[in-house]
Amino acid sequence: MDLFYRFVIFFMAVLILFTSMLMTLYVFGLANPDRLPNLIYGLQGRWEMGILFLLLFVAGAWVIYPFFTKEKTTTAINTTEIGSVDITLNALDSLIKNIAIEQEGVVSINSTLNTTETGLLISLKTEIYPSMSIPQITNSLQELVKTYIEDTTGVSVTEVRVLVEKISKVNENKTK
Amino acid sequence: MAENEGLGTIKIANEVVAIIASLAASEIDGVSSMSGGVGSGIAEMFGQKKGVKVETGEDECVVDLSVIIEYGISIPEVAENIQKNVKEAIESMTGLNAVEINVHVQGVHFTNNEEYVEKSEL
Repeated sequence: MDLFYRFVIFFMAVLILFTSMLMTLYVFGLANPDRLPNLIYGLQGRWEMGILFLLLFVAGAWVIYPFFTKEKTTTAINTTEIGSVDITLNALDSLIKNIAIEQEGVVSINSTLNTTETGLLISLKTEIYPSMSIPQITNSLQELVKTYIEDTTGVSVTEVRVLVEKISKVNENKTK
Repeated sequence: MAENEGLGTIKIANEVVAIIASLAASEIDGVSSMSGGVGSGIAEMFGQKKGVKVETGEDECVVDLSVIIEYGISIPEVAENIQKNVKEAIESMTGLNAVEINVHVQGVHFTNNEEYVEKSEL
């Protein structure tokens, strides 16, 4: 992605160099300004040029896109003198879903992750079969997730929020 | 790039360092695969190795590895092993000083899912 991205940016820069120089010449009367309107009128109906400009638009959008969506999708594990280690929130999420379902009483789980300055904020929405009391299950779930993530990944967990969305009356077999 | 006095200079292409790094990382227990991510297809078109990014200087290099780790293993431990093995491989095979080996864990590989799928096919 890097190389291709750089190539596109380079190409656009060349385009800007060219058009800006042209415009400067027109403004200071060093080139014939009559040509410019004719050039633009001449483009009407020429669909090949239309496609070219559309491609240019798409390229511009693609280049600008990262500037607006650089939300943090990874969180740091640690940094030593050899280098740094980090993990994506998606990877963490898959670990969380996998361990949360092991908690007795949890029928299904939905999880979202956020990072804070102090550590991970894990939000769980679950469906529970109350084989034990619900606070027992949810407390156990919080402990389980927090301990597991901290032991397996080394990332510190600030909070595990649990929302019990549904109570199951039947002990459905958990699919793993 | 290193200078061999009188005989000339030795230049090592980034791709070579990338291949060494990739192999050294894949050797480690717990590494499921190197992670491509979006645009890896295009990157491979331009000759870049999947999951590895290498930047080289005069005598040193910085390597960024994107990996998928096997489920059930301590991730910091695997990451540290990757860093050590890659650093050693690069330094012994190329003579370059591996200043930074950064590991980016992109995902976890669950083998029990595969077993589940296989059973359902019976």
